Amino acid sequence: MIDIKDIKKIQNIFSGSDIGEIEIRHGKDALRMTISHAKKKLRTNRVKPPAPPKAADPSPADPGIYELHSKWIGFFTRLNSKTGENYIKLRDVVKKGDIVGHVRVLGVLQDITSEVNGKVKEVLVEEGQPIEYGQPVMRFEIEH
Amino acid sequence: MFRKILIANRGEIAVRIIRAAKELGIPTVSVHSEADEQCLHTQLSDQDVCIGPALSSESYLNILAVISAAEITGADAIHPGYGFLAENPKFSGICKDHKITFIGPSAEVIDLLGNKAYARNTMKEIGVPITPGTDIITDTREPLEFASRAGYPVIVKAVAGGGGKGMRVAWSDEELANIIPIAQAEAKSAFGNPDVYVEKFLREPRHIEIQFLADNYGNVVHLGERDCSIQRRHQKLVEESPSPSLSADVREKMGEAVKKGVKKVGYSGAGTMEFLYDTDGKFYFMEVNTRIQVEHPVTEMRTSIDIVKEQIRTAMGERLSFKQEDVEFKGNAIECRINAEDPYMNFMPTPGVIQDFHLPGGPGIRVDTHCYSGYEIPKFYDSLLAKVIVWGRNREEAIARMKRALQEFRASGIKTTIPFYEKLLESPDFLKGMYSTNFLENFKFNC
Repeated sequence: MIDIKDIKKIQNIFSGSDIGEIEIRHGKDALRMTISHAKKKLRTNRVKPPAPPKAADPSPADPGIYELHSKWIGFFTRLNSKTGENYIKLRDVVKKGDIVGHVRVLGVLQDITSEVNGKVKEVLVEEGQPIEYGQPVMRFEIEH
Repeated sequence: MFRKILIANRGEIAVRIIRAAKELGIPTVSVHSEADEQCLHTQLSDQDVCIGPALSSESYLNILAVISAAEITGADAIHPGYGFLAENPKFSGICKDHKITFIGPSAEVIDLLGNKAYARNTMKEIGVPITPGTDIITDTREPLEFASRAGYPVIVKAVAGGGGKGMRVAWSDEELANIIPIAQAEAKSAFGNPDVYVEKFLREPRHIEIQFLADNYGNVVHLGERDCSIQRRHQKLVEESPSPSLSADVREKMGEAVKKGVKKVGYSGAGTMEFLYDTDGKFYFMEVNTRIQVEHPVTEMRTSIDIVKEQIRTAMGERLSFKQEDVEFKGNAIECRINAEDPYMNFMPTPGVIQDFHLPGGPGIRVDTHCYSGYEIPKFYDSLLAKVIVWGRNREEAIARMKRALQEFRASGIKTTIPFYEKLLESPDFLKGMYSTNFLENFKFNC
């Protein structure tokens, strides 16, 4: 059986390195250690107003899911002003290049287009909400 | 009162502006690139907006992105800091078009003073001495005639240049004739304007600049000088006030020249007028920087005047809160710019994670920084890590205090320029205050 002191030593050796995960086998015993290298976040007492919010959830790890990010800074809308209806709703199937919404940038509507063929899984921002560069806007289930 | 100020900058100057706005009770919005999400300014502001990828040209220099960020957050004023869009007349004009107050002079004034030939002529008209030189070069005969009258060396400068860019020194007729077309081509490619002019080159000048503040009602005050002669490749390293070389008489003449010049062009806000001070005691106008400068805390330490707050107040249409006779100059202040660079490796930038960050403290010490323990210095921007500014009752005390501060300063995990400054502060020429812009040519650090 691996001694707790040995585990501590191994942890000390790897905590200063870039190695994120290590697996050690010794006879019948096996140890897998995962070390987090997450960046320290500065704590401040600021009160951050909701606008413009960022998605709480980072990019999905599922390779079958595609997350569309905003290239613009402005106000998000799904509304197609010509038809008076939303460009997309949940579970709609879209093709690469289809317009799925707009960002109103200083009064000018900039297109948001899908970069994949897929099915709308989630819309992450609300109608009229301010969004920033790189902010996740929608998620799609990729269809091949 | 502004509803909200957006700071169109990053790093320590963004932090400095947030602090001034907070003390005035004005909410702030910081903007940042994807590489700067962890930068302190994004943590201290009330709101922050990501405006683009790491490259400055696509984020901090992206006018559309900055104005859009102001729109979505409801900011009605933008402070540009220094660098990036600070001296861009187009940006100042676009802010005005969108009913956003640009905290700085008008687009017209930035444009006029950004043209060095115009600025020189304006100062000449009101009797401010300028270095002997030509107008914009239109033929090859004119600069050669000037050089034969003034004597070599002469310097070729781009009218739109700055920060040492677009300058070349000539020591003979042949060299001058060769340099002019090269300088014109360089100026066109770097600044979009090929115009150059020729000036007498001073061999051992000091770089002296005067800080000023002006409001919209014609009130102008100057806050004394800073001696910024210690430079490396035209980038200032150490600044001090007062200058160890200036007589009271010259100081007063410079101050009066500044006030006349600033009034003449209808300037409003904070700015700096730069001069070359020659060994014979004469001074010559060089240029006006139409923005807050990196080294402004040196003046703040000596005068106890918050330049950034005054800048914001005057942009809100308020009158300057004091008169020239109210300005009190006390003691000596010195600033060292600490960079994340390896002084033993020709000042190579050393981006990376700061493992442990400890700042000096105690009487008379101020540190302006955007860094903290665990902060990763991105490789995309300038390598300024912190500005250490000290105040002392006299120059000796200020120097001793700076040495102590640098000993206390700890930033592990990266290389810094602190060892360079520790040696510089031992230099007999620096201790005697006898230095010019050529100081580093004779100062041997890595030996």
